[in-house]
Amino acid sequence: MKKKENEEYIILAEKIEREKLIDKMLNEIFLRILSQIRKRQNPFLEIPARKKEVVVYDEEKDLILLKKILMKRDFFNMKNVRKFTQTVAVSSTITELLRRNIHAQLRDIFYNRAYIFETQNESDAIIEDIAAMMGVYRENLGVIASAKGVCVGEIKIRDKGDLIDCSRLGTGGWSITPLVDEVEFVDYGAEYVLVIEKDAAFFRLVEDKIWKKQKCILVTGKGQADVATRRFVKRLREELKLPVYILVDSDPYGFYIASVYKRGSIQLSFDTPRLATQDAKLLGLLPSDLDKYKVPKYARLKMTEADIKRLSEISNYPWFKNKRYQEEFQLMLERKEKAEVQALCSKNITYLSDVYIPKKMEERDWLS
Amino acid sequence: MGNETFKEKSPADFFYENMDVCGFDNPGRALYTAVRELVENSLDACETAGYLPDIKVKLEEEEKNMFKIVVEDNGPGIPPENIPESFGKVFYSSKYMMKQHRGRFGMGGTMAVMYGQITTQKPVHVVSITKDYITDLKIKIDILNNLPVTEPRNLEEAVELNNTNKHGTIIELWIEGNYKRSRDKIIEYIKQTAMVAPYATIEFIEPDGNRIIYGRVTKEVPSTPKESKPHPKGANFELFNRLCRRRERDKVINFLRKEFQALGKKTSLKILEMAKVDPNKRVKELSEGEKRRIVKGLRNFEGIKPPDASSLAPIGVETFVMGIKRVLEPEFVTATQRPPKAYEGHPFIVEVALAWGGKIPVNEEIKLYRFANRIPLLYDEWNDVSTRVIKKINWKRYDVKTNSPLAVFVHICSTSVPYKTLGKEYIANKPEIRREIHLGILKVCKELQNFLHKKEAKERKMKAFKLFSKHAELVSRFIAETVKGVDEEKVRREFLNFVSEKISGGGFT
Repeated sequence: MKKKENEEYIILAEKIEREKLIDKMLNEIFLRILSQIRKRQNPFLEIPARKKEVVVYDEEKDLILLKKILMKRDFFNMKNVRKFTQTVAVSSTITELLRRNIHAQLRDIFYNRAYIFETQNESDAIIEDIAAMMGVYRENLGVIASAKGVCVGEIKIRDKGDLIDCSRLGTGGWSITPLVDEVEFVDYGAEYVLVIEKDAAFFRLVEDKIWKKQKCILVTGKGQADVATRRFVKRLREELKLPVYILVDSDPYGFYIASVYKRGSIQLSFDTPRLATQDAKLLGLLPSDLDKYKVPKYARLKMTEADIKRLSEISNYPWFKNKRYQEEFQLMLERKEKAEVQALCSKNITYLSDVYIPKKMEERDWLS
Repeated sequence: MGNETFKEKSPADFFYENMDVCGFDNPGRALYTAVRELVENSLDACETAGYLPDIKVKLEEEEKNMFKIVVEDNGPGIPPENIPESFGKVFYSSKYMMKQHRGRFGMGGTMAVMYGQITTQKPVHVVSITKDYITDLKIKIDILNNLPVTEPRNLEEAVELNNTNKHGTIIELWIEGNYKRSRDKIIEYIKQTAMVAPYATIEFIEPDGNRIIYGRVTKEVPSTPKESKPHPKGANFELFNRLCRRRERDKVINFLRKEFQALGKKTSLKILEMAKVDPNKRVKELSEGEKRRIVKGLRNFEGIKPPDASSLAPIGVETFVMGIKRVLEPEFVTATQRPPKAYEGHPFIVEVALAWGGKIPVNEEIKLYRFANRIPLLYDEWNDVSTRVIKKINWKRYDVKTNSPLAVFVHICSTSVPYKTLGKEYIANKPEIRREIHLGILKVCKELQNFLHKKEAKERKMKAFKLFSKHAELVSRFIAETVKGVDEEKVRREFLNFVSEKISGGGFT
């Protein structure tokens, strides 16, 4: 049973040795095409489909996953040939990265063969194709996305030989490296991880030194979380066994951002097992908190048409089909109100650190 | 006394008062009409004599709005004794039989001569070179009496023996006109005439000296039409009376058989029986009532053979195609000739051609060229039967996109072209003719569709070849850059060969 399940989805290898990966690239892309040309067979590559239809939510695993369906990318197809060439071009760049054992940003890859791309979106998509085709995650190919996450708290990290104490980095904190899998956790005194959606609320908490009082590690992805930040949170959970709590705005986008930390995104669906922190809790800000914590009317915002549309979309996502979530959605819809985390500052600038978070933690008032 | 009052108006006088009817309604149109009448005369003369026409037209603006038209041809020339009346008398013409001819009203250039004379007071100058004689004569028309007045008065003084091999006619005509207003039409007329007469060299020199020349591209002259007797279906009372006068002593049964085509003894007897006329009666003894009944019988009798088409001279598919090619240089051209048909007793043949690309401009409306008896029709296109047919065709069905460089050519030849107006510029919507045009267009459309399909397939292949070659080169380069020990040039050549094989085999999508 279990084996069959694994066959259904694209599951990426934890990590493939560099030399092996180079061989795999050469054999499955370059030598394969060479031999197809010599044998006068139509050159083609087989690439896992990543369109919306094959992205599925596995209820049992509670993860967004990618069904394994291989698509033929033919050379002799006037519509496809450009993508075929782009795939070979990016593969060539990636093979070079692997051979030289260096890393490149998504944008570097685009510029490396910019003459066959129109936008960076095209090259980004091809990189994901190759990652899915090779069955490895992007970083394994030497390709990194820029990381914008920041971490502050009771934890010491070793990054390429440098020891970093995240409790001694002032109000700026440690910028999470794109090569997050290379860092080593040396020591920690925290009891949990608090992930904050937005930079502003994060700064408030850092300045209030809540991490000291509450013994926690603060992380922000500054909006929609990038891969490195998500992977960092996942590693804190898996390796240090620290529980993870998420603090987002009380609006449909906040809910979705929280769910990306928990279950992965639609776009990088083949990579979710490595990125998703499935048992992270949604601490707040919940629509029901607005009354509970008596957020004054003037600090609440009226939802726009677009907000309401987005709310109805996410209410229909299968992973949100759960009583507690639906109740909160229902409440939001009835009130047509949303609020930012900082709305709590209307009562007192440090209300968030002094009252809200400690009380929520104490009352174990969160959504799973 | 009464004599004066009853004096008939001379035909020249009549036309003098009705010149607008013949296309001489204003100085712009007059110049165009004069040029075209003279050119058509020249073409007719050459073709009838079996010479390959060389026609030269020159316009000079001698004073403001006063033009000298010179038309020179290499036809057989006009015998000296016929010259004065050919140019100086209205209705003097050889074009009164049942056969297809270009000239309108059978007057050729006489109207032009008259218009020129009225507007400039100058005589027409004719130099005619026949096999035997050279005649150099100036002619004016005595309009009141419809008589030519020549200079010199004595014809003999104008004639000398021709000791050369040359032949032809040169006509110089002075006329008031407006070139600015007629230029487009004249140039279009020359151009379209060149389309239907590829066997002619046509040269036109504009007043500013600009020279337009269409060189001969074939030596095939269409056969000259034969004369034929009238067809019973086309009979009318006037025609019948005229024919009667020629055979007053004949028995009516013999008269019918001799004067009409397609009538044998049996049919004639049946018609006479129906008309209740004694077949042995002499023609001159027929009463008005009997004549009327015979005409009615002739027109309505079922089962008479269709009119004889030998009196028609179509352009011919190959000639038409060559003519269009020489003027428009299209990428594709095709033509078809419909079998002879008749309307109201008049035989006619429809020829349709279709051309794509080359000098044909891309236009939302399909460009239509209309010809009747080998002359271009330039006015009133909107009302023409061909325009109606074209509008009804579902061009999309033949994969013709809007904004295509497409031109349709319709030629109708008949012993009696059913012009709708006196101006004779557009053809009436006769069902028989409309049907033939429609069928002709459908036929050439099929061929156009084939051409467009092939063209599209070819273009797609070209595009694919370019695209795949470019990408094959890129892929070869990336492979060579990545796989050690691979020779880029070798892979490139191999891949490009593969691409070529694929393209010619069509194995791509």
